[in-house]
Amino acid sequence: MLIPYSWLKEFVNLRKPIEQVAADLSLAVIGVAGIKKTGGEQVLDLDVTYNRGDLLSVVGVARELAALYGTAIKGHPEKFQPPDSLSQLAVKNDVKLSKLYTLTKISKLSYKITPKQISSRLDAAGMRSVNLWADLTNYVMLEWGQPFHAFDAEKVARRDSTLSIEIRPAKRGEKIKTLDGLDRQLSTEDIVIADRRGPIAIAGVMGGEDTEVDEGTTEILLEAAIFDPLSIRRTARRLGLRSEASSRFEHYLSPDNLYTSLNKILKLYQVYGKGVVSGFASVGEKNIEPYSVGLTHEKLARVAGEAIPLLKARAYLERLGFKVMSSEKGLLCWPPHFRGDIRIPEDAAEEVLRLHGYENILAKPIQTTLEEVRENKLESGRDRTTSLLADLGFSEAKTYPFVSTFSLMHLQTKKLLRLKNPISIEAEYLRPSLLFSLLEVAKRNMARRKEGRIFELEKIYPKKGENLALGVLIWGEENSFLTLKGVLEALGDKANLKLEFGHAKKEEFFHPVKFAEVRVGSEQIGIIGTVHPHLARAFDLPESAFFEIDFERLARLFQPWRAFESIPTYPEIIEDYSFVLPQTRSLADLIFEVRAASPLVREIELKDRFETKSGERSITLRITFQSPEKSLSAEDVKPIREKINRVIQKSGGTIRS
Amino acid sequence: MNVIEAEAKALEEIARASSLADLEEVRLRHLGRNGVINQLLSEIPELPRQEDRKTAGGLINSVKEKIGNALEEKDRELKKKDLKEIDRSSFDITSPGISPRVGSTHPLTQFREFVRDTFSRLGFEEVYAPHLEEDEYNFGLLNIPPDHPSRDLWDTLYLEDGRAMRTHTSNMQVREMRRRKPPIRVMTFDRCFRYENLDPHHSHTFTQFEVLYVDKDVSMGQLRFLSDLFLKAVLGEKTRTRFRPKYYPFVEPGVGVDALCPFCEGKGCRVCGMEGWFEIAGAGLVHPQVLRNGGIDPKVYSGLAWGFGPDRMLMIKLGIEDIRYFYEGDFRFLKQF
Repeated sequence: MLIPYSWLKEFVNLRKPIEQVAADLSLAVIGVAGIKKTGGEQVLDLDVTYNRGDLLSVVGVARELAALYGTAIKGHPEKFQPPDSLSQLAVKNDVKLSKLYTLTKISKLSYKITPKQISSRLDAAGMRSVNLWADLTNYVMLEWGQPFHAFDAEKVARRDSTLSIEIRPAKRGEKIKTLDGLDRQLSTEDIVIADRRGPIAIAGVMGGEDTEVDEGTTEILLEAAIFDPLSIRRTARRLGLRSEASSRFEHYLSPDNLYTSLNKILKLYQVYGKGVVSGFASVGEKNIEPYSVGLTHEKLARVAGEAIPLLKARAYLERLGFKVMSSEKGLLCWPPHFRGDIRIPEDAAEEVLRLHGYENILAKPIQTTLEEVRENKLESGRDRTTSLLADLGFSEAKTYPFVSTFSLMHLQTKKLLRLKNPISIEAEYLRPSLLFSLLEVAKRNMARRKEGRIFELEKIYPKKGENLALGVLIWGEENSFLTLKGVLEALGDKANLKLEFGHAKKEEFFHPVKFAEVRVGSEQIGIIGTVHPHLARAFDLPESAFFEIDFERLARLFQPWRAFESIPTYPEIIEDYSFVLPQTRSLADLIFEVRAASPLVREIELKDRFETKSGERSITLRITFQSPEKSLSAEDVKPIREKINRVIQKSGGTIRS
Repeated sequence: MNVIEAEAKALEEIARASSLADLEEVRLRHLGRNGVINQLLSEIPELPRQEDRKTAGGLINSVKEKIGNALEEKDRELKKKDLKEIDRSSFDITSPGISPRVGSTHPLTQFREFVRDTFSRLGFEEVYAPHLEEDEYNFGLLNIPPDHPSRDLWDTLYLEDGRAMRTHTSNMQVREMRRRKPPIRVMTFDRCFRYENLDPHHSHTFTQFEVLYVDKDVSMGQLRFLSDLFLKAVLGEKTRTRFRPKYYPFVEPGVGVDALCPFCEGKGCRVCGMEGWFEIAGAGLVHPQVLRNGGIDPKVYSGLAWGFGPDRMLMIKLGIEDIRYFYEGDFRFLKQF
């Protein structure tokens, strides 16, 4: 809401500079987006929120400033009182559609150009000057917050000489050509102002072209109404016609204020257009039932955190236009007619605090019952995981939850969750995995880094349900599958978990043989694989490997401690075993068998491995023999050595001499 | 080898030794356990005559002493030489170290840990709520009915199945109230989504932190306490803050929290847009209807909610000029943390 400062000063005495007034408004009333200068006029730009529709007017803001500075608002505008002699217009209304509908006929108008005073203020407030008749409606709307619509009465009569106006829902298939020259298809949710031939305006949103006022207009039907806010909102949104008027209709409007502003606008039509009021109709609730809100002393103290004397509270409320009665328990408050937002004691308490000043509310330490806050395994798991990966050279990325069009080429959209109102095609589908997010990060960094290590710990959104996932990607490193597997094993080790790797069903995004599922016991918690070379190439990446773990499961399994293993005191004997093992035979199985060969096998280390292009694998295992009871002799080890050699051969290995 | 030869050879080798390592080898060869001298000594018992054995022993021991002395002298000499060499050597200590491979956690992760620590010391427990949320938890139960004009505060992304991508972390409020009994002290640090085009200051994906505290006698005073405590922890002890009226349908009263600009200390500068203050957090006392929706009797209990945007806070605190950096995974950004 743009409010020219000079306009404000017509209604309240302001001796402070505009900057100070802006600061005061922002601390006690409403957000100030800034102070503008338009054509020599200083203008306040206010962020009016839904609850304070009354501040969408110069008078509304003036009232608040008067309350704030403890002064009175200037002028005592009167409500319009139609003389009894005035002829009655025929208007049919449904109060469900329009709580109050008034129509005033102004005759004998003679046009002249809009006075500079009015057009420059409209301009400063961000509205275009159209013609005198329309300008006056906008001027009074900005001043009082009540929208008006002016119909050319002769044009209306030309359509239907009986002048029978009805406020009703639009009929199915009905159309209207609006002021902007466009044909609008109406829906039965819309409210229209209609005569017997059809709609002449979309209520609260826009008038019809064929009843528009212009310089030749000499007789006006002036509408001032309060429509159903939700309906106006829906219609304005659907038609893309939100305006200064329609947005005011979305807020609470006061019948009292309607009559006051009507009085003001009719005076302006007399002064500037020489018009005479010649007919009137008013259908609906002319007054709102006054209601009170009780604010007890306890409630006020409980909101504020300290006792505020009731006398003070009463004074604040009265400055804001409340009628207040003191009772034994506290205050009974009747909000002023223009405030639709005061409904519960907390609302009244807020009014008191605003004027009391939030800066006067002192910090008050929390006094409470302390209960156990249990360890959150997800959070401790998160801390360990992110710091371990960072220690291992990985950088943590955070990426958008969507699948880009580039990645979408590789995915089947029917398997993805889709947005109903995507911002763009780049943000239309939700990601089912972190794989593509991380491939894109890698692609983005490739220009500067031929190799890299990244991870993300964030939500993914497969159709079966959102899930916190840990995704890790390396690119440009040799032996990427085993390198990444080592990282995953280190993570398992930190979590004191034994991770197992098993053959997984082929997946199109991964290398057909370098792909495995990751398990803890029998529970599958993720997958690991070399990114399919074709997919990597599509992202301009060299050999890459990726794993993704269901982090909620992993965190649940985390074991914070493990039992200490005694450090043996007797000397160990260390021997190396070198052999060739084809890729078709499992090295994990072989190591398992070797370990089982004797209780004296204390440690097996994969000391060396070498893989030729033809897929032949040379392996060297370094085995530590040790007894918890004695020093081992060559004789003790000899039979075990023979057994181990047999086990290696049985597991598919060929001993190298 | 006889004693004389042994002496001559040892002394010659000692003289020739050019390094401490050489000298140690010489020592082992001559005076070691299996060295020449011990070899000679071990041959003594083979001499037939007691007199000869005595003479030989004396002779060998005197040679052993001579060699010992020569070794010591040479050792001193070589050490001296060595020290000179070490002294004379040069090394450029300004040459950069050999880089270990170090990664980094995301600034939002680091900040999350800080925030969580601060509030867990006050007994707040971390909770989570769905990103893809039923309309009622994101809006309806928070006093924001369908079609209501107050929904304009949130431009919402919807799924085809009718669920919303949550627009704030406040969807946890009623969920947590329904599964707990007061006193409730919970916090959440997570992502939210809005219908926004990307630019340096707007993002459809962003982060929020929020605390919810429900207890007897929760007041604006305690809101002030929590707010100040945290903002001082983040922005420094000298930080000044202020409350302003602000409308959120699920709190009453609602406030916006400003912090004095740490760069100009309120004078107004480019960073704070000449305002002197930053709007940094939003808060209020939980609306009685929201408490009721959560199954909590507002006659007995009251609550506060306080939250802020970690992305924005980090942007201010660290001088990051574009919110998109947080979500693009550029190493030139990530490696700085």
